[in-house]
Amino acid sequence: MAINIEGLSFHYGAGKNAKQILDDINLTVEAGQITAIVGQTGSGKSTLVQHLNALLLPSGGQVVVGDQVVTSKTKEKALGPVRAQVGMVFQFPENQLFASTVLEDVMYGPKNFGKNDEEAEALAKEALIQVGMKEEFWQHSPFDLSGGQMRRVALAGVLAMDPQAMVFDEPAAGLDPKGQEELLDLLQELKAAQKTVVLISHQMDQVLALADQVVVMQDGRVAAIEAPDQLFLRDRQWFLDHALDLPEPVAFAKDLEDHGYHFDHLPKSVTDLAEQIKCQVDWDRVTMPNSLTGGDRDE
Amino acid sequence: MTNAITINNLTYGYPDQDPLFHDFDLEVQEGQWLSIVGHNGSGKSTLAKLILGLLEANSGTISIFGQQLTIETLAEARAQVGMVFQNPDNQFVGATVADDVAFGLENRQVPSEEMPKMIEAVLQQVGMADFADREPHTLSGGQKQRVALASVLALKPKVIILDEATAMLDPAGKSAVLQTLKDLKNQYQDQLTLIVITHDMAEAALADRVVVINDGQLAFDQRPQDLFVQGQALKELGLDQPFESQLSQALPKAPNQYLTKQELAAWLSTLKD
Repeated sequence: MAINIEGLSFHYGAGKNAKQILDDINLTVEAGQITAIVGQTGSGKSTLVQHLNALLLPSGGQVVVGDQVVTSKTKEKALGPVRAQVGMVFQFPENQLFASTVLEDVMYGPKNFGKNDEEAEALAKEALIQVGMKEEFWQHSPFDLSGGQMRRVALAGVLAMDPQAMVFDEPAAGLDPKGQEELLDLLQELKAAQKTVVLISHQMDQVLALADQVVVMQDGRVAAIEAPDQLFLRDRQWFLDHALDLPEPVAFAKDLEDHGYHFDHLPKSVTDLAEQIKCQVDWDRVTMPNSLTGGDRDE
Repeated sequence: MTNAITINNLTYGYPDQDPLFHDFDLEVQEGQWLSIVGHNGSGKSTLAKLILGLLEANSGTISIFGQQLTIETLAEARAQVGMVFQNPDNQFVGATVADDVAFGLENRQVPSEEMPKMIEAVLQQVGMADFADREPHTLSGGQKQRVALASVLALKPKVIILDEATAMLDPAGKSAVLQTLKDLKNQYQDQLTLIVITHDMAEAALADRVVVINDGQLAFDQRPQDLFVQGQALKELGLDQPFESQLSQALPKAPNQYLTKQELAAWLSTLKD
C-alpha cells in the first residue's frame, strides 16, 4: 500500500500567530519499500509522519493512504480505517505498555480494532513470536522485562494489528548492538512480507543499509528525495548544511579520497570499504614502523 | 588515591529471579572517568541504582568515599552522587530552566538570595545560560540533558553518574552533551569522578577506564584502547567494536594497536605516497 502526500502543509494556531511546521510537501511512500526520513531535530520529521496515519490532519493539501483521502475536512469517523492500516511505533514505545501481562498488552490493539478475544490472542501470539519473545514471558508483567524486551513487546503490539504500513520513529535508539541488529532484521522481514515501512532515523549507517528511498527534511520542507546510493554521493558540505552525519564507511572513504584513494562505488559496510582499500595498496611493500608494531594481532 | 566508590562482595537479585550480581567487586578511584558498558539487561543500570541507594543490596557493601551505604548514611552519600537519567523528560520539575535548577537547591535549603548566582554559574558551565527563562519542554533533547546536568552540578556532587544519558539524543545533541562532560572534567580534574553508563563505544572511548559488565560479572576492566582491539570478545558480549578497529582488522596489515579514525586515515595515506 503506497501513501501519497500531495501539497501538504501544516501549521499550529491560526491567523497572525500561526506557526508553519510543514510547507508544500510532495512525496510518495512506495508500497513494499523502506522509506527513511532524516533531518535534524525540529525539521518536521515527526509532524510529517503523524500525517501518515491521520494523527494530524493537513492544514492544506492531502494525504492519500491506499484509496482513502485525508484532508483538513475529513471527519473523525472516516479516520479509523486509515489508522488501522498504518501502524505507528513511537520513540521509546515501551513507555506505552500498560497491561498486566505481556500477552494482554499485545492483544489490546487488535481488540480495539474489533477482533474478538480468540482472534486477538492468535494475532498477539503470532506477533510475539515474530519479535522473538519466548512463550515463557507471555504471562509476565511487561514491567518486569529488560529494556530491549519491553521494546519488542511494544513492537508486537503494533504488529498484531497487522497494518499494511508501519512507521517507526527511531526504533533502535537506546538498544544495544545486538538489539539494534535484531530490530533491523525485523524491518527487513516486514519488507519481505510486502509491508510498507517508514523509518525516522539519525543513524545514517542504518539508512544506507536498509532504505530504498531517503527523504531529507529541513525547515519543514523536503530538501531531497533520493536512493541512499545517490544521496551519500553528495559532497560533505551538503551534509553539514543539513546537520546530517554520513555513514561511517562513506565518511572515511571521503577522507581517504583527499589522500589519493579512489572508490568505484559507495562503500556500504566496513568489509566493502576494506575491500576497496585493499586493492589500492601494494601490501608487500608496507612495513610496520617499530613504534607501531607490538607482536601478534590475535594476542 | 582515595576510592570514590568501593563495592565489595555485592550480591543482588530482583525478587523471584536469579541473582544478577554475585560477589561483585569494583573500585572507582576519585577523579576517574569510568565507562560501564554492557548489553541491555547486563546489570549496568541496576548497578547505578545500587550505588545511589535506590535499590538495596542483598548482601555485600557499597562505600562512597569510604563511608558504607546504610539507611543512616544514605542521605549523606546521595549528597555526594548526582545522576542524570536516560529520558530527559522524566527529570524536570520546574516551570523554567532556572526554576528547575533551583528545585534541588531548595531541597538543600540554600538561602534564596544565593540561588540566582549559583544557577547562573551552573547554566554557564553547561552552555545553557541564555535559556534560563525558557520552559523546559521547548528545549531539544540535548539541551534538556545539559540542564539536567546543571541541576546535578548545582548540588556540587563529587561523583556524577550518567545512565545512557545520550541514548535518546540526535547526533548534534549527543556531541553537545559529550563536549560538556569533557569541559567539566577539564575544569574539575580530580575533584570530579564521572561514571558513564553507555553502549556507545565512541562515548566509552572518552573514559580513562572501561569496565564491561556481563550477567552481573566484570568481563573486562581496561583502558578503552586496549578493549577496542578485542573484536571477537566484544562480539561475544553483545557489543560492537568501534568502526576504526573493525576496519583496521579487515585490512591485510595494520598497526597492532588502537588507532583513532584520524590516525588510521593518516597511516593509510602514507601508503599511497
